[in-house]
Amino acid sequence: MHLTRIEEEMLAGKMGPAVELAMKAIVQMGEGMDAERLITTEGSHLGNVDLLRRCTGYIGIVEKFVELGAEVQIPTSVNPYPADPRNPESPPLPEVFQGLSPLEDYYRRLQVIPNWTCTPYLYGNIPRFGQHLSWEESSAVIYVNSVIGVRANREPILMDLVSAITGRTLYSGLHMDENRRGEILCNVDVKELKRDDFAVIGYYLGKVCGTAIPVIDGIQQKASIASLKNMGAAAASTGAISMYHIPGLTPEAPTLEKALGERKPTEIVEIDDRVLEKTKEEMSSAGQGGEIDIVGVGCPHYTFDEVVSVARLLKGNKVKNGVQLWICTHQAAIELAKQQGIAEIIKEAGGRLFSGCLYCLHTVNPYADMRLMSDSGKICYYRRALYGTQRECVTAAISGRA
Amino acid sequence: MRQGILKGRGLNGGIATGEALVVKPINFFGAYMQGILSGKLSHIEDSKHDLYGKSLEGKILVFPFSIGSLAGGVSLLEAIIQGVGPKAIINTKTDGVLLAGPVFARVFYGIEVPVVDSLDGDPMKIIRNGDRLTVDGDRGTVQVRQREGVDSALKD
Repeated sequence: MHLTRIEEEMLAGKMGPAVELAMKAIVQMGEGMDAERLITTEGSHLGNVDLLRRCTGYIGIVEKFVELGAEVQIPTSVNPYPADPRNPESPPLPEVFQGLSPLEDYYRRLQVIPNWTCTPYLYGNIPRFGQHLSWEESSAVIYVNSVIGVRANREPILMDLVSAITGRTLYSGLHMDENRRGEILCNVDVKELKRDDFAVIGYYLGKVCGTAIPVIDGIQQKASIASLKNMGAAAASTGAISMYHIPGLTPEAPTLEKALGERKPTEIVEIDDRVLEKTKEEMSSAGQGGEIDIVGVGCPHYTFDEVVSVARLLKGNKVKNGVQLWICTHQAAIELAKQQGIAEIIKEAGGRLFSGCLYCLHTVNPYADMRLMSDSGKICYYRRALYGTQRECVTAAISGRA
Repeated sequence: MRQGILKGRGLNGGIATGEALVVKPINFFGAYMQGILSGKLSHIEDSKHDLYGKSLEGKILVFPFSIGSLAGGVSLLEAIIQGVGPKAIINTKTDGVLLAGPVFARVFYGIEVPVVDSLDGDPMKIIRNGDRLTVDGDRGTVQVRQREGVDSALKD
C-alpha cells in the first residue's frame, strides 16, 4: 500500500507513540483489505460504545491511547449512552448499564465531542459537502453520504477510533467517486405519501437493494430532514446500504440521469400502497393489536420538530397507567423543548423526554421482554415490536392498546 | 488421509493448526451480545445460527463472510482476548468489520489469529468439519488433511 511521506513519518513514530500505534493498525487493515492508499478524513464518529463498557479488549485499547496522551486529530463525536444519567426523566437503567462507565472519562481526555447522539450531523459534528469522514453508526453514514454529499464508508468500531487519532482511513468504497453512482431505480407511487411512510420505504429498500445504491423517485415533496433520517436508518438496518440518491433533491443527483451516472438501472423497483401495507405488517413482528408495555420513539434521535409534533399529540392527554412512553433525542433538542415549554407538556402527559439510545435499552432486560411499539424501522428490525406511525404510537401510549 | 494445499491471500499474519469448523455467515455481535454486555464471553448465543451453544475455542473457523453490526470485529476481538475465539479464520471473502478483530488483537495484544481468503478452491466445498488444517496468514495458504471417503472437492 502506498503511504505519503507524512504517513510514513506517522508510522515511524515521528508524531508520537499514540499516532504510531493507531497508524500501525490502519496500515495492517489497509494491507489486509488491499487498499491502494489511505485518505485524509476531516471528522470521525465513535460507535455504540456503552454496549462495550465491559469489553476488556476495547477498553484496553482506549486506555492505552489515554495513557499515551493521545488526542483526536479531527472533530470526533460519540453515539448515545443508553440514557443520560444526569437527567431525572431518564428511565431506570437495566443492571448491565448501571454504575460509571470508564469510557466517559477516557473520551473526555481524548477530546471527543461529548454530544452523545446518533445524529451528530444535526448537533455537535456537522459536516459539509465533499468532506471525507471516518464515521461509525450506519444511520448517520447513510444520511451524510446521501443528503449532504459527504464521502464516507461505514467504519467498523475500532477503525473509527484509530481514524480519529490519525485523521486517516482506507481509500475505498464510497470515498471513490466512481462507486457513488445510483444502481437501482426505485419508483415510489403512493396515493397520499405521509411523513411516516419514509421509515417503511427504507425498511423495504434495504431488503431489495442489499448493498446497491438506490435512486428513489417520487418522494421529493415530503422529504424533510426527519423523513430522510428515518428512511436511511431503516434501509441501513435491513440492508447494507450506505447511500441513496433522490433526483432534484440530494446534492449528487441534479437529475435522474445524473444520479444513475448516465447508465441504465440494473433493476427497477416499484413501491406502491400495497408494498407499504405488506412492509408495515412485516415490521410488526410482535403481531397486531393488543396491550402494550412501552412505546419508544426517536431511533435515530428525534429532530426538534419531531419532538414538537409528538408533544402536540400528547397535549391534554395522559399516558395510561402502567405504560411507558419514551421519546429519545439529543441534548440540544431537549434544551429547546425546555425553553419552548414543550418538555413540560410531555412531562405532564407522563412521557419521558431524554437523551439516550432506544436500541441499547430495548434489547436488554427488563425492557427486552416487554411488548414494544415504535415508529422506528431500525427498532422494528432489531427486536420484536409493533410498528405504528408517530400518531398511532402516541394513541397507543394513551389507551394502552395498539 | 487425503492432503491438499489451498493458496489465497493472507490478510492477517501468523500460523495456526487446528480442527475445521465450517459454518454459514456470522454476525459476531449477535453471536456474543449477552457476553459483551456482561463482560464474560463463552459460547455462541445466537439461537438462529448453527453454532448455537458451541464454543469456537481452538477451532479454525471456515465461513463465507460476516454479516450485520459494525461491532462485529470488536466482538470477535473480545472473544480472542478472552481465549474463546477461533485460532484462525478462513473466508470466501473477508470484510473490514471482521478483519478489525484479528488485526487489533495482533497490534494491541500481540495475539496472532491468521486470516486467509480468496483461495484457489472454494473452502466451503472443500473443507469439512473435523479436517485438520494449518493456516499460514503470512503466505496466504491452507494445508488440508482430510479422512478418506469424505465427500469433498479436495484434490490431492
